[in-house]
Amino acid sequence: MAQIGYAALLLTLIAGVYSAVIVVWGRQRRSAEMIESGKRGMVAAAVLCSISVLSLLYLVLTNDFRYQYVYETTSTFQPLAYHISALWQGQSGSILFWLWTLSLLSLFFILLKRNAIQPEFPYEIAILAALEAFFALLLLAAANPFAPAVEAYTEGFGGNPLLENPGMIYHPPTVLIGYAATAIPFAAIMGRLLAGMTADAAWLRNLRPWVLLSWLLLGVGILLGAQWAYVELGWGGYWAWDPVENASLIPWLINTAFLHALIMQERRGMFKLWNAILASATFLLCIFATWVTRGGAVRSVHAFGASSVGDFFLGGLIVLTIFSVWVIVTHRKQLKSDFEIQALGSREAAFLYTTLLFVAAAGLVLLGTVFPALSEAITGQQIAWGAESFDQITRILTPFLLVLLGVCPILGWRRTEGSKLLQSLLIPIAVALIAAAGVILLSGGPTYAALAFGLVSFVAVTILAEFYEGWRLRLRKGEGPLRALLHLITYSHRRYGGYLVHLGVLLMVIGITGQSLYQTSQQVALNRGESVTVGSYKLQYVDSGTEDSAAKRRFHASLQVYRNGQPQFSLEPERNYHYNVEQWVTEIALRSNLAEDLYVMLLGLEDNGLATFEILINPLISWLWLGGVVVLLGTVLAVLPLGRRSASPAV
Amino acid sequence: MSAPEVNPLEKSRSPRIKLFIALAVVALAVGYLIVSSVRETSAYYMTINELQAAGPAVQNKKLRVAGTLVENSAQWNPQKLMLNFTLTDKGNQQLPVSYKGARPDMFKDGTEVIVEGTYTNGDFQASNLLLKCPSKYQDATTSQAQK
Repeated sequence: MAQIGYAALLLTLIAGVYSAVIVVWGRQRRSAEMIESGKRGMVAAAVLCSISVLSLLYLVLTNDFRYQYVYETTSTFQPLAYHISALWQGQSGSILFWLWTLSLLSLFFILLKRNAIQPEFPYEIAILAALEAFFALLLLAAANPFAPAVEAYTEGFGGNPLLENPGMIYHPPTVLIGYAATAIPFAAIMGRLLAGMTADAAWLRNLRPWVLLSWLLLGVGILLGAQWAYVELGWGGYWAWDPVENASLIPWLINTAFLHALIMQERRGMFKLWNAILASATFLLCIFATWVTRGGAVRSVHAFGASSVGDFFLGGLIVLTIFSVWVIVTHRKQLKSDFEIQALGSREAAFLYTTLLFVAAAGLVLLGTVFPALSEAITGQQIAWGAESFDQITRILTPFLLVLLGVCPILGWRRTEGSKLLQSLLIPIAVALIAAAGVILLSGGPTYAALAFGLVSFVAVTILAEFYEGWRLRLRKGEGPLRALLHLITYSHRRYGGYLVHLGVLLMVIGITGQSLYQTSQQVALNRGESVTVGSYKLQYVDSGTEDSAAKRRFHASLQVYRNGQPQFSLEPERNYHYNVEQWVTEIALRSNLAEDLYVMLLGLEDNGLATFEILINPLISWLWLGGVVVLLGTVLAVLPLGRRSASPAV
Repeated sequence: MSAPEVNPLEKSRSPRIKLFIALAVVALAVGYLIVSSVRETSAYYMTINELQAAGPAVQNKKLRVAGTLVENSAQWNPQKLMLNFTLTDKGNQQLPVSYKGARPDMFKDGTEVIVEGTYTNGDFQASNLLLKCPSKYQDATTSQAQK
């Protein structure tokens, strides 16, 4: 079975190289048959990748310890779901998964173009085929998932217990598919340039769903990772600004900039050069992110030492960067703007500010991540940005983001009339001031909280006003209220999907701000029967115990939680010792509602029953996850082909 | 009488310059805020050797030191929530560290630890512990931030 998987991988390499060569040659010779052959090569590559992945899945599910990968990621007592997730848990498995996803997405992209073969088609195939060949080569040469085991193993290592969490099932594949999907806009834009063409509105409209796909998957993947960290790692937070985390965030930020600049190119023929650069940067930064995570590039607790996998990614990154720069520079004539920004207060200008903001944010996260290496190279002294450094930068940039979110729908194309602007801003600003005052009065909270929540209210009002205005217009035309709302959303679904996404972002900002500014925590050591009061909760330590199993020794304590003197619920945090990795793993106890999370960790359990707890109250954090769901829904709404095109132009 | 024609080049230059100036002003203001925040919150990386050599010179600076946990040096006081341990590195110098807070999970002998905090009188007071997770490439930080 492993031989089949390995052979399929080898054939994928051959298919990729073949397709890339034959389509370029076919383009030169103007031979439709050759290009068609290249297309079939891509079909073959997708099928072969699938065979390879299925082989690995088979090995993993049958616990075939003759292969090193299976030994490292599975064990006989591992639950089925984690057997499956073993497919993407290890180094080589995850790269194979990435390759497989890339082959499927590329195939889908190519097949969808069946009826509209355009000049860039051979170049798009060539680029995607070359990328697939690259990944196949990397796997064969440096990360073979079918490599034989180093010893004769009878039991698997079982993977890390920290990874036995539902998060392992949905976070890595989502991020990996997001990474793979960034290759499509890259290939499309580079292909279009190589074909000597410029991108028209219809072409860009067709590209947008692919950009949204990678944006959504990568964004949701990152959020899932944060949620996983929150419930699994047990330190009360969800984002530590670790280099590995940052590495995935940077391409997502650039992708957000790209998404918005793309809208401008579609509507006004502007930002063409920006988009060529941003499309390439998004894709290249995903490769960079992988290099950082696997290759030991940046000094961090996650530097796993330079390996040849890292060298491959670095080599690929350099080659692809040179390629992108070369294509853009030699075809820059096709990237001239059709339109210039006319006024600082115009919608076009606002999109420019948005693009700059996200690029700046990405740049800053990148700078902070490489700062130790950079500062050492320049001054000889390594200086590291802490999590607080990044948090501070986020706090500085967030108000700008919120202002742009709120003001942009109000701004006019070309320029905005001062009086109109003021009129539209009156109510939102008034609401914002009331909200800000409310925050100060109700919580006595920091000024920043008033600023943040005030601006959030401001944006919420302007977005809801957009819904209201559009709805009212339809009512005037005689439509019934429910129908009007439905038609509004479905006919202009890209615009209202976008607004819904922005509302989701607002919810996330509320969650992030609440948790970061209003968190309370307490650490306490209790004997059985004793209790502690944190916030509005009284927690009483009732009992504790230990149990042994094949995988671990379990230490747990139970707490009865009271509110207003009434018993509400019980919590049972654990601290377990896993034998295979010889380490402790904390399992937190969590109780969530919309207002706050009660988060309890068992830090230690002594023989005499003395238990140490850390108790956290995280206000509003659920809004972060809810906001993510709203963003997801909004994106789906924006992407789905619904209804007929409306008279008013979609954004 | 027709109105005098406006030179199209002239007309488009004005918003562009205004744009550049406005953006530059904002960038400088934001840049200044960012630089001062980062200055306050960043830490100097030092090896144990450099730390002990520098001594009082780095008294109030925020520092980060990397080392491996010395065998059997970890002592956890559950009542006071104090963790004391010793780090060592390639130079075989030893650094005693005290940390008030939750004992991290992946804390075992030989683990690579990065401590962040201040150094006074030969003792390192850590406000933050960053541990290296042993798995292949997955992110699994247990940085326990002390407020």
